[in-house]
Amino acid sequence: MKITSDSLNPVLIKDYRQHFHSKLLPIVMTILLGGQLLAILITQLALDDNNNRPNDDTGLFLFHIILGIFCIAAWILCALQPMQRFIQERANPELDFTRMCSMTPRQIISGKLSSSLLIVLYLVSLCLPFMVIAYFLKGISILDIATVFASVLAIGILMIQIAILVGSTGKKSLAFIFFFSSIYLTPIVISIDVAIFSKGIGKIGFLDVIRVASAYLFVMVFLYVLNIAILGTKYTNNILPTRCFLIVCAALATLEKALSYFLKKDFLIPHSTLSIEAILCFIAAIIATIAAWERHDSGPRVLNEAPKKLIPRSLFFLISSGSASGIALAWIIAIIPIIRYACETIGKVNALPSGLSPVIFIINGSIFIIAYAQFAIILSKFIPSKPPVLSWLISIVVLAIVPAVFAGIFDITDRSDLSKFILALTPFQESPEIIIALIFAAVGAIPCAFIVAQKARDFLKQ
Amino acid sequence: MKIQVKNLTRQFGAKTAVDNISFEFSSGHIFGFIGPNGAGKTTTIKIMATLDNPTKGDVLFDGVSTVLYPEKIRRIIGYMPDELPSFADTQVWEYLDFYARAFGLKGDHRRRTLQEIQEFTGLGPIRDKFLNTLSKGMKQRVSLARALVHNPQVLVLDEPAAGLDPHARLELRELLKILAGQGKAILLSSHILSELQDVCDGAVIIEKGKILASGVIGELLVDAKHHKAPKPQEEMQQQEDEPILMATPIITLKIKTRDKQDQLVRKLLENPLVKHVEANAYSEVKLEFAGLDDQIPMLIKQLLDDGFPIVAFEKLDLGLQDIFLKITKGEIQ
Repeated sequence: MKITSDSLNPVLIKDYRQHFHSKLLPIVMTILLGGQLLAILITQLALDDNNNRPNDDTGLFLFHIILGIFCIAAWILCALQPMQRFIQERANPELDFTRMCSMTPRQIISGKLSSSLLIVLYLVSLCLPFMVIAYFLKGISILDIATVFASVLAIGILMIQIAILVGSTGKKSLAFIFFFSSIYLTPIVISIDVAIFSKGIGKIGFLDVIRVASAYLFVMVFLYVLNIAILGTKYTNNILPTRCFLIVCAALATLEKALSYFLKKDFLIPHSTLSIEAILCFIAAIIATIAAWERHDSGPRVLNEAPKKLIPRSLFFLISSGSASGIALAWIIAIIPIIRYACETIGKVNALPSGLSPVIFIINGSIFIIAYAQFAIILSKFIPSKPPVLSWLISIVVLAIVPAVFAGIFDITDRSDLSKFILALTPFQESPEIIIALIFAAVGAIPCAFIVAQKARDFLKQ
Repeated sequence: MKIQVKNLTRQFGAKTAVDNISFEFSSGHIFGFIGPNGAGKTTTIKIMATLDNPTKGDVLFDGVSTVLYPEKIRRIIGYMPDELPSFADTQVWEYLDFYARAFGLKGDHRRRTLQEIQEFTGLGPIRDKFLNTLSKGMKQRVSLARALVHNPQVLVLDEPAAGLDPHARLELRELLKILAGQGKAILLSSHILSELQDVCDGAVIIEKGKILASGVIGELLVDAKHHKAPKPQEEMQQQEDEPILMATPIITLKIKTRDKQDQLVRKLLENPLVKHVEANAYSEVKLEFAGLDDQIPMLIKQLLDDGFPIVAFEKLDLGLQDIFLKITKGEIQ
């Protein structure tokens, strides 16, 4: 037992102890068990009215009630409470354990995640006996129970990951946004999920499952590396895992495209509806957005860690913390797909599919997102005392959200001609024009290029 | 171990909290870090503890930079902030156990270490209490225990005596002396100067982000006795080779009178050897006398002859508090 506890993550042990000292755990467990017993009681009363003969949906009805109660309990204990605790732990920089011990950000995040997952499993074990009763009441098969439960768990784990991400920022304002958005969004997502899995499980192909799982894995790993970046010590190369992950994703997507091209067969990515250009632009947009949240300089520590030879040092610059290297990397990833796509579409209006195809929307939107990131980086140069994320928010609000709001107002007042004009420099254009997006991005790219060149020169000459 | 604070600067926007300060201290010594609230003590300490990054400069621990290698520094430094988390769901032993595990202490070694630290800091009787139920003094003990859990070579303590009762202050003083005796380098920040005088070997005096004086306590006392003007850091370096001009020592005297306090102050100010006079509410007058010891009885005789009903007088020794007052206009307790 002693050996086992030593091999466990210290954060897992700490959080687990805190869970069992907390007053919230017995309260939520009482609600969970009481709610389930009440559901059984209601079902029993319904059966009494029906001469003890369950109808076809009795089990399904009970299952849905148990699932609902489980989701509420898991949301409170595994997402909200750990998030609130993490915020509390990080609120005072002088008492922030992540800065006062020698644990790595990866260990801390893993500990936080595993402690929440352990509580999820604990809650699942409390629900299992009631699930068995639901199964025996008929109306739902074991496979349906397992599938729906697995998919709800997957959403739950995603919520936990987001909650820990919000917690690691230490920002109460973000916690409120998470709290209120999850109140409204989670039931909707779970309802859709339950509807898909309980009614159409047989119609979903194996490849679709793999695609959904891959997308899920992408989001999970992305949140994980982003979390590590947030927890990283200032001036460390904390963005390195995120950049590396996104570069690997871009490389894998290109490889998959090459394979499907030579074998003339779609694998993970349905290339007929989602081109490789769109995927690469999307990844570039993510890199650019994160770059806009970063400081300009890489910091002395990164410079010290960088290889001394010119070519490895130049490559290291691209994966090092700093907004300049981020925007440079984003353009390197996006430039060829954008040119290729632009060459195929500019001037060939008839070749464009009617309406908004995902490819046009993603490529066009990505160019705008990169452009907004560039404007944010330029803006943050003028307000160095403010956090870069503020510059990014200002850019997004001024250049995208405000025009969208005005366009909405003009639409209501039947001035759609004006709204079309206002939305011209946003991704919400009525008919996406890649040339406008490119000109818009180029306007920002020119001053931004000076910042990139200056930072790259500073990085390489050290 | 030698700890060098080198040209440290920390700016928050337009405000410079720490302005190009340098000092050093080493193992086996307790070094006081003195300054009024807002002087830049906590900012400097946070940089030393890797909780913040300097705008310029660095802190080196045996040549290892806090900026470049914060993870290495965290293993050799024990930081005690001036507060402790008040978690309602964490017991004292759990809090210490977490940090012991987080620093990689395993098995019997961890248990033994925690046992020793709890005994050393007197936490045994309260080990099962929750953090939010502890008094300020107990919290300070827990905080010290937490800072010691990984047996650091350097201890940085931010206002450790704040909020402690006199008995707890004495105990803390003794604990610190034992730790220094074990060869640890200790930096102790405080604005309660009487706390530092008995325990520190050296001190740095900081105000508005700049160092006003630094050195071993004896040197600081001599400097203050001779009423030298505060030397900015650059000047101190430039003047190292210059001969020291001996100034007339300043003697601090306290005179108690039955009445005529105001007249006494005026009379004293007429004396060219009296530099500064201060009256208080207890019919006492404190003055700085730039004469020799032999001249004190003559001064008192003169006052008695002038009809002042003097009932007592006392020659005061200079303390750290006086040094601080002489070279700063700081707010001290």
